[in-house]
Amino acid sequence: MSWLHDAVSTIILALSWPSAIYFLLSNTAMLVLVLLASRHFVRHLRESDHTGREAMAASPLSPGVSVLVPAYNEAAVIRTSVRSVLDLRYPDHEVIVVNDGSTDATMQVLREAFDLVPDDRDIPGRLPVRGEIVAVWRSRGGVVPLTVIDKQNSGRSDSVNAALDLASKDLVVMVDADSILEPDALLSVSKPFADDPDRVVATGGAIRIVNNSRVLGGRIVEIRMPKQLIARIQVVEYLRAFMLGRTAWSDLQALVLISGAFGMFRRDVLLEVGGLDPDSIGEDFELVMRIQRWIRDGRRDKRVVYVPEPVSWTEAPSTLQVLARQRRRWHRGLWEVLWKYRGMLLRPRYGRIGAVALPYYWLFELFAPLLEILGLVLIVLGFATGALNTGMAVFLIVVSYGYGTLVTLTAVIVEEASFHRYERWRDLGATLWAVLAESLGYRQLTAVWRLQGWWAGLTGRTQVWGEMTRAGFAGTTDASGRAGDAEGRG
Amino acid sequence: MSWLTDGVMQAVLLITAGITLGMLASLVVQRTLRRRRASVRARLDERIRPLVLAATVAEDDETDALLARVRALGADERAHVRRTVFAMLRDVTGEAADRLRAVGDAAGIVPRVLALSEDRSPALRADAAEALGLLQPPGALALLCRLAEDPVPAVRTVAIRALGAYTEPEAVERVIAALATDSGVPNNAAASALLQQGLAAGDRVRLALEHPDAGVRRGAARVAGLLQAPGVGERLVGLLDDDDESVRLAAIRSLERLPVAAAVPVLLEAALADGRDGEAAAATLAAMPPAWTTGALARIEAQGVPAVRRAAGIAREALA
Amino acid sequence: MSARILVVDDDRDIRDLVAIKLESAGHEVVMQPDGSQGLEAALAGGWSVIVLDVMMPGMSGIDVLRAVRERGDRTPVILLTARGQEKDIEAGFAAGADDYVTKPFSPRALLARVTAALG
Repeated sequence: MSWLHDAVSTIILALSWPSAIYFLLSNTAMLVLVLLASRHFVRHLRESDHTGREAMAASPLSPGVSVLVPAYNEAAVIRTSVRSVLDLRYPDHEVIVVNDGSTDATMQVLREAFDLVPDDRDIPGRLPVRGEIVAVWRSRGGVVPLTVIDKQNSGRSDSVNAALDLASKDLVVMVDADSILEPDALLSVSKPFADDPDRVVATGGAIRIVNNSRVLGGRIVEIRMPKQLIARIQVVEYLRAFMLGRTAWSDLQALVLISGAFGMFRRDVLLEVGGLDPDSIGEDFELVMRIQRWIRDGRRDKRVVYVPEPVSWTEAPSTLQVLARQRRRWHRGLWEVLWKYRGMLLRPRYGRIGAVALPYYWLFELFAPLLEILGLVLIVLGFATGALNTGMAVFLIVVSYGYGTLVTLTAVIVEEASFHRYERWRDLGATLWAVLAESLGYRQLTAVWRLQGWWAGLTGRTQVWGEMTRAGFAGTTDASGRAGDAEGRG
Repeated sequence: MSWLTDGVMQAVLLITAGITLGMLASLVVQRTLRRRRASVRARLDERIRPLVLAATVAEDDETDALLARVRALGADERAHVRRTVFAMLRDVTGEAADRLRAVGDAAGIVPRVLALSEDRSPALRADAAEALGLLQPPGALALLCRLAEDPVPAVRTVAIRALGAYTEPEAVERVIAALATDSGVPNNAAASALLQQGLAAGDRVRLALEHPDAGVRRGAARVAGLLQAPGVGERLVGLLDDDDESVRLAAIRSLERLPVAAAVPVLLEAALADGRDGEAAAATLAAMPPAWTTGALARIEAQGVPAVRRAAGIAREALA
Repeated sequence: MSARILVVDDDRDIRDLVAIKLESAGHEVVMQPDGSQGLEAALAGGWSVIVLDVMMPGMSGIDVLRAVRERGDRTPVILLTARGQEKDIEAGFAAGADDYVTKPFSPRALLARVTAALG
């Protein structure tokens, strides 16, 4: 058996250095993103007093916004959530709700709560919509700027497209019926459009985790740290990968992902690129990639901007089972979109998207779970067979988990110096414990789920392709199933 | 791997541990300092706030005594008075605002703001511009006009916004200049300031509609309809075939609030051409007096694409 | 003439500025910092006038107003709305408001409206 031992040892030794280098690069890339984001905050946080938000809130010249709200079986919350959208602080916005073939009383609740009457105006039909439209309603006499589309079930993306077709304002924003919005959300994300109307075509804002915070009438009234460790880890994860990561990508003008839970777009651009792809699992990622390609293919001077201000709150999965489903789905979406747009990879015409952002997503997002597991196997096996001396094994652990934890800690420091949203000492302790726990189990678990999602994407594509989106939307009944899709892929 | 000796490993681990400890310490220090600052502020607030509030409702004969009390305060306390006054000035107008300004004066806010307006830090100059707009001390207009030409766009933007409160010709002039495409001030911010200046800017708005810079024409066109300035309607019609799309769109939308019969044929043409402004043109037509638009709406019903028909309020064919 | 007035606003500065003005005119003022507590206080009754901010986290002023009117309570309500939010004013009157004041507001004008509402 000694030949087997030798072979294994050789393989382990041969792989250990490339793995160490991969982890070094991956963590360094994240560190660079976090530092870029901190530079952004240093520059812009001081200005926040002068962002002119009050002036925008009061000005009849602020660009009009159509808020698109797809709803499936939301009878319990629809009244509150539509009202909370109507009540958002903004001088000119309309709300378009799509009842996506709900089997509960969503439609009746809407009709009664908002005194709806049939809206028989023509339907533009600029986008192909699969679900047949049963009827369109609006509030009597136009007292409330609300339109409701009643259509047959066809999934979230298709519902958004139906709403987009009837939108009448210059900007559109897509919102989930069950998400909780910041009163100033529209002001925050529309500001880049108002400041630079000729160039900005899409913006996104920060999505935060609502678990355990106090919610009243569709608004957050008290921000609290989640109770379960698994949700606390996600707080840290959202902070590092989404808020800081996207701030950095946005500053690099290479932002490829805006959360579908609150993305704002110029309506004409969205119509021109064809709206959401109803067959895509990562439809938000897919859309922004399509817009970025549209920008570069047409050599257009346009921008996709991330606004690191909270706009929407989502319930993060608090059980392993739901989290697993979410991560499988995300990774599958990531794979499918990256594969679909593989032609943009490393092509000079796509600028920083092709040269930096996409290689990053391929190497350090898509392949990350594979390398993560490989590294783990390497360390365990190497140790067991004695192929790795203690030094090398420790070195591997330091560059992967040690370094990774330090990067996350840096992100926590950036947040402490800028937004500091969880003010109690206890919250700091909880955060630090979450930082540690992320490396001790959470990362490994998510790596396994992500691999499963990728595998599902590679093997099951032809069979479940069209149904998957629908299953995710209509089939998931627990509240946090959808929540999973509020954010997506680092 | 020969270099990976125990010594090197120990060094790596020690460095990592050191960095980690440093980071943890920085977290604790930041939080401690911030909380201490907050509690100092809260204690100051307990004493200062009632004083400032009382001033807003003080009778004339009480004011002097109150202001004397403010003047007698220590430096930290006066700084807190300034912050409190500044925050409250955003909320009130009229007599109460005048009283707040007097309190701010007594706390030395004006010299401080004047000094800030020449500070090297753009953020502080922007603070100064905002404060000048709220406090409106003597000489503020001239200073704001200067800040409106600051090298940093963010400072210019705050200054332009503040100038919205002034109706003097030089203020209107600066605001209109800020509408220009390359001014570095968001068109929206400048146009909102122009709107705030209101009818005092009316004549200049009319002239600005014919300005060679498309940004100025766009901004003026957007404001014109809201201001309802006399004699503007005809000029807006002239902008309906402007070379710049955003100017055309602004003119179309402005006409929705300021209907002019002469605009109908041009709007109809735009609506039937189904460009980006087709929907807006149809919506404007639908908002005009029916006596003018019956023919135009009938043509849209017959020839318009569905999106334009919807904007004009026309029913689906199957239903009609 | 002294009256009991309920002031509901999430902004502490505004709450205090409104309160001190009304108190200076001899009225008794009770303040509530958000819509739900405001509604609770409003439904407890006994108010001569209610001053309600429209834009509050949680329940908006309009929500509070609607709930009050649904109970058949006709207590005069004055809304505080942000400048430029015309639709708030429309929605406010539709929900049964008696008057409104836009922010930034003049405390004197607000007092005059409260006095008028007291009849």
